[in-house]
Amino acid sequence: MKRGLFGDNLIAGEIVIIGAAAAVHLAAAVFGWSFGRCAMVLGGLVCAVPVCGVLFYGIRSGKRLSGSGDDAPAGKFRFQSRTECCLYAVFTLIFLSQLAFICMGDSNYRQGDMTVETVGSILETDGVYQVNPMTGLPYTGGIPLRLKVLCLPTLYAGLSKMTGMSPADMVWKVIPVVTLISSYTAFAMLAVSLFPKAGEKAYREKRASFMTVVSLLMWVGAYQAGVDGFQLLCGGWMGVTIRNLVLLPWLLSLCIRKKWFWAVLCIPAEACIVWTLYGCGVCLPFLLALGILQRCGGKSGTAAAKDRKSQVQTPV
Amino acid sequence: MAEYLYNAWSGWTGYTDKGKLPVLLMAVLLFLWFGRKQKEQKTLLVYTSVMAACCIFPVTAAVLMGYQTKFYNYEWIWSLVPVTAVIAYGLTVFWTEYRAGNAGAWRKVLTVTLALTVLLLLCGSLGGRAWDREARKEERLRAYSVVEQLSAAHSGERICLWAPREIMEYAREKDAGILLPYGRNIWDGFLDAYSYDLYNEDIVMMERWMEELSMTGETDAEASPPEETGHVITLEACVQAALEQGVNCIMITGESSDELVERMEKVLGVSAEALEGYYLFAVRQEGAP
Repeated sequence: MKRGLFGDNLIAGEIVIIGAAAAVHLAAAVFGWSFGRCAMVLGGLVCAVPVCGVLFYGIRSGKRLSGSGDDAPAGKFRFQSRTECCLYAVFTLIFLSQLAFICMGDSNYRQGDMTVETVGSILETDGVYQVNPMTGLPYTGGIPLRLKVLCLPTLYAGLSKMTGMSPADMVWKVIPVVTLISSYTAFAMLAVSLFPKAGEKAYREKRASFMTVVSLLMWVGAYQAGVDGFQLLCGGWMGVTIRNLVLLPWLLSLCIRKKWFWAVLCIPAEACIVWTLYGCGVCLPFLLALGILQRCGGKSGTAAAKDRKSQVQTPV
Repeated sequence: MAEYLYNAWSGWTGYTDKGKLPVLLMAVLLFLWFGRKQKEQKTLLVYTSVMAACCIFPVTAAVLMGYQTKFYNYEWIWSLVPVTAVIAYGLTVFWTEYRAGNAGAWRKVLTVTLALTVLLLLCGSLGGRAWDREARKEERLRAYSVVEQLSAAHSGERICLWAPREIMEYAREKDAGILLPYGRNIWDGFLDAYSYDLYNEDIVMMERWMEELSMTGETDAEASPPEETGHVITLEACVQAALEQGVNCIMITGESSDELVERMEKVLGVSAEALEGYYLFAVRQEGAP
């Protein structure tokens, strides 16, 4: 497995938390665990993931610093040019405006969504999917199995219980802020992949420009459900938003960097949070298509390189 | 399949109606394919071009809609296309290359930067909102206040509330302990996908009666029997149905006529209480704590 960047570890950590939530959620939905018990296990796992992550990252960074003799210590960041500084300043302003927009709390788009009611029902009944969240009465016809396995309501309910926050504040304010930060982390990883250090002139300016355009696109795209900007700013708690704005940009960056092991993680993560066709959502075809195209491109690139080499070596 | 085809075609027109980001994507792809010699991210370009074409062409779009399941509308097939990433990549490449080619000519660079920003902003809805946030916020706060008072007044009791839509919409969001005879999935059809539960005729009748009362302050449905149910919707029939569903708190709009309030009091055997512009009828049911 190739080493990842800090952003990679952060998003991978979130995927691990989603995995833990899925395990606990299934225990409740299938084996009938009480939600109190689930929340306790989930709380332990959610706390353990960042602690393990910090330890792992600390040990690795320590090894790298002592072994490499790199004279630029990790964490020290200097702007290469005034343009880069200006671009990041614009990006920061846009990011802060989006943060404020989400925190105001009246931007949530709830048509076709009942996450808050579901989280409230879980907390109220101390069980997962015991009652219909719309009415609070027991189900008469039941719920689709593909919906029953989705774990985000359990995760949000667990976090709500741990922090004592109301379901509405947790779902409409805290989670969208986390998604916003995670999304920009994923796009930052993509910027690193699209504009690598080697062979690129002014790569840092390009990355800064990319991030600024992405942040601007989020405001521009806040006009209609299904568009990235709208989903990020008005529906950050939804599974589809996390998939489209965290998992997919990260997956794309991983594909470009050829980190296939990490990339595969996105497929089960999507299956745990989004209603898919028996687990085959967007991440799987995305990964397959990019993998195949890269392989074809790589082969034709190698063949072309060989041709060029033989032409050079053949005496005319 | 015919339904998918129709949805795919109408979906594309709807998708490009409010904003023009897909059009900007096309322009960026044209630039990346034909506007420059180097193609550093050819894989990404091939993938995005093919998938965008598949999302636009109705037959392939219909296939993709089938793949993503009926749960989602047309716009969600665009999840397969990295729209934001490719637009940002294309604009970055264009801007940095233009800047490099015009080093020193800062006025030209600034003009192009501003032009690109304006172009980008024009692809959105220019501040047009997807829904009226202010009105929705006011409605929510009012409903929260009503629900809060109701919960406080009946603390520790089981509350099954039947109220106008604007209260029912937010009741369980504010207090998940409140039960409802029907939820907002009765008017937000998308929510029906989340369960196999169906509402019976009585509940549909109750919703229709309450809706009419909220809109007019009167209910003249008694004069015109609905085609679907085949029987007259009367206040008495609705209240009876509500009690059978376990409802113990009925709330009607404060603009209801005095005659209607009196009839309600007579049927339920309780007096109306005023609550933030509504009349509340709290019924103590037999066996209730």
